[in-house]
Amino acid sequence: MSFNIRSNILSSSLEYYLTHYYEALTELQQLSNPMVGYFTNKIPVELLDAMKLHPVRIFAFKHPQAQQGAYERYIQTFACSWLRGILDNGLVNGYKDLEGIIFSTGTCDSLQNVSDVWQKVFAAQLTYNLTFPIKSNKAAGTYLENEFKQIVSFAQKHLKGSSDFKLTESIRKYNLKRKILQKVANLVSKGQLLYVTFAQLLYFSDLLPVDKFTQIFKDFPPTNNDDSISVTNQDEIPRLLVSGGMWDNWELFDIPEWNGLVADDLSFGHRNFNYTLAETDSMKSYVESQLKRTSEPTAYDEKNQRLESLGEQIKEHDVNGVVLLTMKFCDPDAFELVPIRKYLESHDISYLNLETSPDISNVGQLRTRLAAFSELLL
Amino acid sequence: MTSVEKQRVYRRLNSTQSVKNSQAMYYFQSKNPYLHDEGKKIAWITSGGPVEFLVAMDILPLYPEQYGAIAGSAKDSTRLSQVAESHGYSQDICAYARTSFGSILSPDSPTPLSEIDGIGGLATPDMLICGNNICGTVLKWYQDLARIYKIPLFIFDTPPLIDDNIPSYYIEYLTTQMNEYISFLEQQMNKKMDMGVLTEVFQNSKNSIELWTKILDLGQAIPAPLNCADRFLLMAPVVSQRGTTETVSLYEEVYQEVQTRVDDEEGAITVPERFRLLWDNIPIWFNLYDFYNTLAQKGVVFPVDTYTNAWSQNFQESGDLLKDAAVMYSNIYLNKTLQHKIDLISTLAKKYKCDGILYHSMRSCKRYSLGQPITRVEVTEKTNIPGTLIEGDMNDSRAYSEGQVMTRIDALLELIETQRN
Repeated sequence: MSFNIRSNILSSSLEYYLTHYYEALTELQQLSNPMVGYFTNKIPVELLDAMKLHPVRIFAFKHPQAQQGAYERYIQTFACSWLRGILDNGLVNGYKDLEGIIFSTGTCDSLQNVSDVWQKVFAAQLTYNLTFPIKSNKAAGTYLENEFKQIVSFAQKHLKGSSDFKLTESIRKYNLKRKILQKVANLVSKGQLLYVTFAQLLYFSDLLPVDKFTQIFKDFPPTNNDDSISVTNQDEIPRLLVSGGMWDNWELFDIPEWNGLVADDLSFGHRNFNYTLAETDSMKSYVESQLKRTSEPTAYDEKNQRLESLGEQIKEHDVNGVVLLTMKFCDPDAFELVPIRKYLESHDISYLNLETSPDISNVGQLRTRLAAFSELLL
Repeated sequence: MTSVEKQRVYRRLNSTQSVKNSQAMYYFQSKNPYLHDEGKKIAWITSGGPVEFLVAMDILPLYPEQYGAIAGSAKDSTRLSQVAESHGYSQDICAYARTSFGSILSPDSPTPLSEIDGIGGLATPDMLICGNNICGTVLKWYQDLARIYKIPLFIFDTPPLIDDNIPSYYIEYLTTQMNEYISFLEQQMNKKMDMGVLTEVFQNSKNSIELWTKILDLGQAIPAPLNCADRFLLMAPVVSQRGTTETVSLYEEVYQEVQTRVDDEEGAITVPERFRLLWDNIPIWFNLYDFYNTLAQKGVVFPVDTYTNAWSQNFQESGDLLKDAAVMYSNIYLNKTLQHKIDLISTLAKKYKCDGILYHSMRSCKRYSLGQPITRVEVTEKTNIPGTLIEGDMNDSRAYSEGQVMTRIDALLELIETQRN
């Protein structure tokens, strides 16, 4: 049971840091390299790290002083609920601890427009718009290589980015981080760690400098772990997989109805650690590896990667049912829902669609629906 | 409403009928059962897609967005949206997309495209062309269409423009895609692109756009010769048939008639013009004439709007056709920043001597709408012209409350009056 106890301690520690996310940013600002904020997983974190910058994900975790609805002075209520939360938080202090912010534009309409609004509201803050191509062919590669070169030039000029550039080393560090997360994901799949703790770890991994994260968690999980240990009775609950796009609130998973959650298909979950990049100093090779990553809901899925990856996950984790988590007013999520449903139906896999927003104001309803879904699967 | 309140107070343009006839023929041709035997094919294309290439290759372009507008005007779009919703599409996504999916999935006849269209709905496509220069939504919409029809899809990817200085590697990416587009079409049609024909088609497009821009420019006159509803109807050919000589002839006819109105000081509305407003965004198709007519009764006219103005962007000739086309198709209103919108709205409002601005905040078009609250504030700061947001939708009547909308507009008109006194 020692591993279980450690898991609980881990969960408490992670929760502490995440609930004090904004204070943690202030602390990190003094301790780490200059921080650069980002929103989506379409971001070359390795490049930023190579310039001795610390890429930090901007979460929708509610700032204690945030005034809900403050965003309405700038954007409408039908903007994606995740971005509305982020704008509300930003209006408290404008993420002053960050050296600058990189927007992944060309992803979805809400983010595209919010990036415009952001640059007006926080005019003093340094921002950069990075646009990944929709395609993944040679022309797209050449374009992206130039985008990356531009961002390097911008970061070195304006964001205190170092010109002592060691890309291979940074890719190696991030590959290690992803490997660690893959190992922890296996624990979740085996029922040895609750998904909520894993979700906390995922968020934490996007907050901490990569060196620190890999240093702390390099031996995690312990190799002598007893496979028979389980945090839940796996025979009595169905095995669930949660699929969706962006999701920024671990509290959603902190309810017993999710105890059977063994895997995810989320932007900052599986799709953010399910790949290994070629360890190279060549920008061209780096770009090629980036373009091979699993498609996001926001993108045009040229090769049906998303559905294929979902299918593989379902098989690998022996999943009984899929929960489709969609965020209110997220167009990409809403569009993806239809082909995913068709796919699941054609493969005779049960699913449940839960629509909510990062403030999970409808948590009671979600619990009831989840419980009913799990009962049906048994 | 009483019959007096419903009285029509706008003047019809004779050339509107020519536009309607031309559109009817265009859609009639698309239903030609021998179309494929004649070596032609059908492509569905987004409104910002590079259409000239299709025309040059004997491919008939059809626009699901235009179909959405037709279904909306026929007050059938909400029904079609509900059909789409019953198949799992969220009520929060683009109402044009829902109308399109609804028309494909509807067990009943989709909306007819004209009075001579018996079957209704767009003719089934052989291929799909999607340009993301108007929004990101079209990518997901067309991806789904490709899955439904199991047909090839070409995407023209246009990264958003940050400012007027387009980096050379952007242009290179866009131009390379123009070459890929040609290869794609050659493969679909099993024939080579005739670059001479393509050049001619582009010339027709250029002429159409120039004429369209001249027609819009006439709106500066007082009284305004065209109201919003006129322009929204007249714009159909510049969207869907701009590479043809017929459109050039058509717009010459329209231009002459509108110029005559200006010369005769004849306004688009039959009552004295009291308020000149700028319209921002797509219209409320399902309430098009009633909406503008109701306001016209109060002396409100809309001499300019951002929507029809978006098709006045012409291309600069550098001698490299593909590069020019690539730059033009990237340099689109919705592919630019909010600051660009603010600047353009400010310029148009001044140029067309507007007293106020009406921002149509449409929940189902995020790309066009999000950011209008800050736009309103900044435009007013720049121009001293007040504006207000009204909530609605282009195609979903469930998202529109006439009472609330008219109350907001009345408040704007009162403010304008107060400022005058």
